[in-house]
Amino acid sequence: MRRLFRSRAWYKFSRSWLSVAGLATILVIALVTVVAPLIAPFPEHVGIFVDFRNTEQPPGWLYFFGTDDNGRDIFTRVLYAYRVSFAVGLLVLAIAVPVGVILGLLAGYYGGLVDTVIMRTTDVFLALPPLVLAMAIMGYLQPSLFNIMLAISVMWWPWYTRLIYNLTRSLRHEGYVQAAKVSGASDLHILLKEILPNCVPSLLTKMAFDMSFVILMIAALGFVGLGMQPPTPDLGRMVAEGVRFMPFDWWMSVFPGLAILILVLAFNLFGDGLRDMLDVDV
Amino acid sequence: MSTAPVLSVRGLSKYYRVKGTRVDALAGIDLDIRRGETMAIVGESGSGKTTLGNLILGLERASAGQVIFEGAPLQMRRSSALRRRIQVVQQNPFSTLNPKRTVRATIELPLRAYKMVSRDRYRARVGELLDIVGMSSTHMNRYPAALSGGQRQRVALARALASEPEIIVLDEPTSALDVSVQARVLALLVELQRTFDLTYIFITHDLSVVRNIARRVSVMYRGRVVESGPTESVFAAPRHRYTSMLLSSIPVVSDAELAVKPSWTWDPGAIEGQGLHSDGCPFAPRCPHAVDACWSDVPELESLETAHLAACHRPAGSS
Repeated sequence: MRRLFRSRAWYKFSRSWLSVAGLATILVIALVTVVAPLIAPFPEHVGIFVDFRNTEQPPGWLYFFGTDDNGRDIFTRVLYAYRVSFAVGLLVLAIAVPVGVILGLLAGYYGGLVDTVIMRTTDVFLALPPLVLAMAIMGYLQPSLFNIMLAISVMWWPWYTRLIYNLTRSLRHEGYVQAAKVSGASDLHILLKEILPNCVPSLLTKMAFDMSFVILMIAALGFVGLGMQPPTPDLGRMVAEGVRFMPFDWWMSVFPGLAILILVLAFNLFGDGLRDMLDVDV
Repeated sequence: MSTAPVLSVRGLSKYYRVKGTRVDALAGIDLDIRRGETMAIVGESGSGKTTLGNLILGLERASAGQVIFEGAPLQMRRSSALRRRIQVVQQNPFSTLNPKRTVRATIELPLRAYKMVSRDRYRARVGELLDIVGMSSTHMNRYPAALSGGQRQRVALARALASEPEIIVLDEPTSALDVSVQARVLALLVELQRTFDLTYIFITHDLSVVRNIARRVSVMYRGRVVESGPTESVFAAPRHRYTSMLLSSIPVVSDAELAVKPSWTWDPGAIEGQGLHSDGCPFAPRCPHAVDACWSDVPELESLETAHLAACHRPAGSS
């Protein structure tokens, strides 16, 4: 840890306090979501719960963010909704990144027919508006955690294929790749040990930015009712349901909305910092 | 010395398609390289020198012609046993080493791939190789970013030597280095050649280096060999006009050097003529001695004396 804070990379990253703030926010939210069951004031409000005496309470010392029309604590529900956003974001990347990277490496390195088939397929995916495609998939499947993940991953891998494809196309002409061939390296070695490590900075930066896009996408799906189904808390759905009570019971929409804003902003700032630190274009 | 060549190039050509038009990087060249010698390949940027190296190394596929190694044609796809025997040191010290891999990982790669030594000897062998190229084992765990240009070229050389090759293609190995470092790397190359009985194909545009290191020299222009012969003979009495021009462009500092330099009458029109196309001698547009035949017929590489060849309709010293 001390080595990290003394390293040149950290120095470059920390020169922008906004990036540090972004990273700190992400870490705090991640920590809070992990320990949510311990710190949430009303864990029972996450599920099916009705308290008619306390419906539509404004924000206060008991209910930090107020309560909704069922009397559930919005603060507790935001904490739990963060868990879902984080988990789906990470899982989407865990699916889209390996798939995209492998296809990008193959298309960029081998060229020819492999290139044509893979890259024209990505063109088809990229030509469709992502939200529309995700909505189509979600409309066809049952809205569930697994299906949301699947739907977003299906539209996300082509971006990684593009990124890695372009990097591979230029890196394969580098001297060290040619030299590795002369040194008898296998294609697998060249792809995984010579080319891929040089893609990592761009990859990490894109992943940071994409976390924010995926979180927004989940919120958008939730907003139109195709996200997590009740009673599971979902930031997008909470905003949508609160809209009915605007402007008098403003807290129902505003706090979940702010929660989305803060997390998305944090990942964007963090991504900016990474981009400057690793000196890459995405 | 004059045994059968270890490596021959016959009619080797490489075409590229650039926006529908054919560009000849190599237009049918012949070369013979004998075991243990240093053959210099000289030419300006775009003359096809590096393409020639890549074809010999099997990094690109020839459009026509052959590379013949020990009597057998050498394809782009070749067995690992054959690939091992021809190695390379590249021009750019900043791209020749993977920035994400340590010196040790870089030099170990050929040891692993060609099974040069047993697994438990990798580390020791990398140390030996670093020692051979004049570096210490303490550099083993460094990344290229921590090395100077000269050190990087030494690591690249150690990587080439790791395969225990017979031929090393040296693609402008010193052109990116400071002059003082250049001299030391060249001295190392000469020493290694003697120790390991290496054959060098020394690609360069630097004629002063050629004079110091190569026994024979081939001058390339626009994908053709225009002159070839023993270094002393080519330097003392260049026959092709392009060679004369190259030699006359070496900067000199003393009258003694000036005296041995061929004279060259600059024709201002020659520069304008550079873009013109010639069906014959590729140098015709820049040559003050060009006659009609030069524009229409490709001159053959002909022997003027023993071993000294030139492809010119009106070679220097003949008319």
